[in-house]
Amino acid sequence: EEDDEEEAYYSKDLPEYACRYCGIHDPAAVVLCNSTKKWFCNGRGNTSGSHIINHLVRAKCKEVTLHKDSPLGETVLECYNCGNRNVFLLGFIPAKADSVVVLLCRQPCATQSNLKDMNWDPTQWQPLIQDRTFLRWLVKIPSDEEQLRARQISAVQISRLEELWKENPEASLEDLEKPGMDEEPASVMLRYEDAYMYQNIFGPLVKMEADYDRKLKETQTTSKVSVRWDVGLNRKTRAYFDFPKKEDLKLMHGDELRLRYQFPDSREPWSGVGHVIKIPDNYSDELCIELKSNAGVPSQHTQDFVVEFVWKSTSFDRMQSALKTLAVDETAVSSYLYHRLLGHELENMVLKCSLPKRNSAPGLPELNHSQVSAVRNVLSRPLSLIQGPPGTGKTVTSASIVYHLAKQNLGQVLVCAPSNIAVDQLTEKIHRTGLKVVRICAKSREAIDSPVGFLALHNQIRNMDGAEELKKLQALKDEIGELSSSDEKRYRSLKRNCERELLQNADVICCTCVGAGDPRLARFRFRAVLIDESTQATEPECLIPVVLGCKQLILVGDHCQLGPVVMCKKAANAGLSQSLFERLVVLGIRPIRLQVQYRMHPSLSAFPSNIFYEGSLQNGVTAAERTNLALDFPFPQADKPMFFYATTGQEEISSSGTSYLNRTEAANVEKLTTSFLRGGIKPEQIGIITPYEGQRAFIVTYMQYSGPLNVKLYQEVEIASVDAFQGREKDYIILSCVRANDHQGIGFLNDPRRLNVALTRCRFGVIIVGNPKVLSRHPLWNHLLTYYKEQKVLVEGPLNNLKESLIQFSKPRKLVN
Amino acid sequence: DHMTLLEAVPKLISCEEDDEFSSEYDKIMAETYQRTVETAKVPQMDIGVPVLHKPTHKKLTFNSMQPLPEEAKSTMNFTLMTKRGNKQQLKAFEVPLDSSLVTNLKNREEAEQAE
Ligand SMILES: [Zn+2]
Ligand SMILES: [Zn+2]
Ligand SMILES: [Zn+2]
Repeated sequence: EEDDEEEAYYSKDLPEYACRYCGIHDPAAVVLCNSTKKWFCNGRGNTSGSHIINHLVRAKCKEVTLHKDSPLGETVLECYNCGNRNVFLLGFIPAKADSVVVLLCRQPCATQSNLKDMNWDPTQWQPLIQDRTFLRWLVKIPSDEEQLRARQISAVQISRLEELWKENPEASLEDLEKPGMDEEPASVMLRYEDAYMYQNIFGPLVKMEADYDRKLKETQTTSKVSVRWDVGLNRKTRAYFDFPKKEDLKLMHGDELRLRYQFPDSREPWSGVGHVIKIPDNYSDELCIELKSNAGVPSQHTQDFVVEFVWKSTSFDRMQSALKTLAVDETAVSSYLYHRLLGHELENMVLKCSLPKRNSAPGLPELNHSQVSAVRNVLSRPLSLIQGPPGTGKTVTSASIVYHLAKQNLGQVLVCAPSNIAVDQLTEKIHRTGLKVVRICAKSREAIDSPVGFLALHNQIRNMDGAEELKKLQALKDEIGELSSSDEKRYRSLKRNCERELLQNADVICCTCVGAGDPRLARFRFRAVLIDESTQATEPECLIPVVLGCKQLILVGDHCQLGPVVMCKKAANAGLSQSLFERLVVLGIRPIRLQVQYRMHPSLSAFPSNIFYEGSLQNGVTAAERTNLALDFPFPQADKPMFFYATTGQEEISSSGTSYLNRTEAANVEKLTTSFLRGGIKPEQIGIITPYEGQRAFIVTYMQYSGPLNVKLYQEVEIASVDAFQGREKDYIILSCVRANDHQGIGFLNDPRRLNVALTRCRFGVIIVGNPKVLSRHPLWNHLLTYYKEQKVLVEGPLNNLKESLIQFSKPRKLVN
Repeated sequence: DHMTLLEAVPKLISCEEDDEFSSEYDKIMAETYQRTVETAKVPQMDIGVPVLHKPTHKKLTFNSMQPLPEEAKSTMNFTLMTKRGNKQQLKAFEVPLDSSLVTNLKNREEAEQAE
C-alpha cells in the first residue's frame, strides 16, 4: 500500500519546477539553475550535498533563481554591489544592529572598507552554501519525511543522468533504464586476429574520446570577457584575457580559441581565431592568444568579448587514419612487426647491422653498462622496449641509439614522443651528436618559443641558403601581412619545395606522435622509428609514426610511471588508457631496463626501487653528492633528507568554503617552503606537488598572502600536479597529499604509478605532508608510512621541534584493481 | 514497526560517484577562493542599511529578562535587501529563534550594550 502511494507521488504529472532528481516540488525548497533551466531541491537525499549543489557542481553551473512562490519570491541570487552571480562566491552580511541582510560576493565587495561606516558588519560574512546545501533561510530544506517519500535517486544515477543531459538535455531518469543506454564498448584485447579486428576495437574508442573532448570544449564558451590588446614582434595582434581555469580542461599552447565581439551599433559582429601562446601560471591567470589575422580587430574595445574553443579533430583523424593504414596498406609496417604488434607468436628475428666500436655518441656523456647493453641490443632487433626508471638517463640513451641508427645508413630515422617537451629534449640531445636534425612543429605552435626553435622546420626555411625568391616573398608577407593571390600561390609552392628539400636532407626528423601524421611527411618512409615516453601515448597515437613503413621499432618509456591521459571514462575503462608498450610487456616481450639512477640521494631511491622496480635500481650518485652541507633545515635524521610530516584533524568547512585540512596543509607547505628559502635554497630548486588544480590554486594564494618572505620568492616556486612534473626533476620536493575526509578515497594518490612519479622527482630531499590515519588505509601508503616510521622519519609537531609521531595506522583496505 | 519509523531519515550512501562529487565541490570552492583574492577592481558603492518602516524588534525581544509571552512566535522576521534592475527591493523572511542569524544579532546587540 505504501508502495502505491510512493508510486502515485511521482507518477502523476509533476510541475515544471519539480526537482529533476527526486521530484520534490515545494516552491520554497526548489531553485532554478539559470543556465540549464532545470529545477532542483535543497535536500540531500542519500548523497553528501543537496540536489541543487549536486547539479551545479556536476554540470559546472553557477547561477540560480528562487521560485516566485517561495517566501523570498522570484529572486536571482547576485551580489548587491557588483552583480556577480556565482553562488559559490556569494554570501551575506548582516546589518550591525538590525535584522537586515544583504548578499555580497566574498571579494571584493564584502571586504570594502566603507561597509562598516554604513552600519554593516563585514566580519560576519558567511557563504550562501554551507555544508554543501543552500542556507535554509534562503531555500528550505525539505523535511526528512518529504525526502523519504520522494524518488530515491542515488549518486550513481545522478552522475549518469548528468552525463546523459550533456547529449540530451530533456532526458529523464527513466531514460537511464532504456536498453542501449549503457552499452559498453568492446574492450581492447591482448592479441588480434588481424589489423581489421584491431581497427574495429580501437576505432570506436578513439571516436568516443574525440566526442568527449569536443563536447567538453564546446561547453567552455565564456562571455563578458575583458581583453587587453598587444602586438607581437611578428606584428600579429595578441589578445590577453582572464579565462577561468577549469580542472578537467587541459588548455595548452597551440590550442585554438575564437574571440567574438558584438559592436554596440549595428555593425557586423567581429570574430577572430588565434592560437594560445600563454597559459595561466603563478604570476597571472591571464591567457594570451595570437590572432591569425589582424584584419578588422576591434582593438579600441576592451569589454564584453565572447571566448569560445575551436575544436580540432586533427589528432583523432590521424589516429583513425593510422588504424586504417595498418589494416589496408601492406607496406605500412614490415610483416614481422605487423604480427608482433597484433600479438602473434613469432620466431625472434635478428637484423643485420654493424655494431659500433664506440657505444657512446659524440657530444653526449659516456654510457654506463646497462645503457651500453641497451644500445647494442636494440641495434640488431626489429622490436625493442627500453624501460627507463626515473633518473636513469633515458634521453641520453635514446639519443645515442638514434645516432647509431642513423650511422647504419639505411635511411632517415623518425623520432617521436607524445609531448612537445619530450620531443624538444630529445631533439636537443640528438643535435649535439652532430646529426642533421629537423624538428617539425604543428603550424599552430610555430609562434611558441622553444629551446630548439632553430632546429624547427619553419625556422630553418627562413635561414636556408639559395632560396632567395622565397625569402623575398616571406619578407613581403611579414611586412604587409598578406600577398596577392598569385604571389601567395608562388610562395606556397616555393615553400613546399624547400620544406621537402630540408626534410629529405635530414638524418633525423623529430616530431610528436600526432605530428608524424603531418601532410608534409605523407610521402616519407621511415625504416627506423624511436618513440620516447611511449608509455604515455595511447596505442592509436603510437601507431601514427609506426605506419610510415617501419621495420625497426624502439619503444622507450616506463610502464611503472604515468600512462596516457584518456578523458572519457568509458574509453579508458575499455582499455584505451593502456599503452602499446604495456601490452607488449604483457605479451612477454621483456623490456631492457636501465638500472643506474643519477637523480636521487640514495636514501630517497630505496623505497621506489624496492616497491616499483624489484629493488633493481642502483645508485649512480653518492649520498655526499646529494647532500647540501650548507642547508640549515630540520631533517629529523641527518643522513636521510626526507620525512613524512603528519597532519591530523577532522575535515571541516570553514566560512571561506575551504576545508580546514586544506588550510592546515597549505600552512604547513608554506612553513616548509619558507624554511627552505631561509636555509639558502633558491625558489626554482623547490617543487610542490599537489593532487589537483584547486589545491594548487589554494597553496599559490596562501603562500603569497601568508608567507613572511617576499611574494616574488613564492611566485618562483613551481607548484603543479604530479602529471606536470613527470619527466622532470627538482632539488627539493614537497608533496602535499591531504584532502581526504574519512569517507573519501585519496583521489589521485590511489594510482601506484602516480605515487612512483611523485616520489622520484627529487634530487636532494623530499617531504610528504599528509594525514597518516587516512592514507594508511591504502595498502601502498601503509607500506610507505611503515617504511618512514622504521626510518624514524615519520614526524609531527612544530618545524623547529619535530617529534616522532606515534600515530596508529589504520588497517589497510583490500587493494582494488 | 515503531522503531523503523523512528529511524526513517535520509541516509548517506557512500559510493565512488558521491566521493567524486565531494572532491569536485572542494575544487570549485578552492578555485573560487583563489579567484576572489585576485580580482579586486570593483567600484565602491553606497550600500546603506535601509530604514525599515516597521519597528525593529531589537532590544524588545532579547534584552528583557522576562520570559516570552506564550503566544510569541518561534521565529523572527528578517529582511533581505536585493535589487531588481537598479531598484532596491526589501523582502521579508522568517528564521527560527535558535538560528545563528538570530543569535549573532543578539550577540552583537549585547556587545553594543556592554560598551
Ligand atoms: Zn531533489
Ligand atoms: Zn545547470
Ligand atoms: Zn560583488
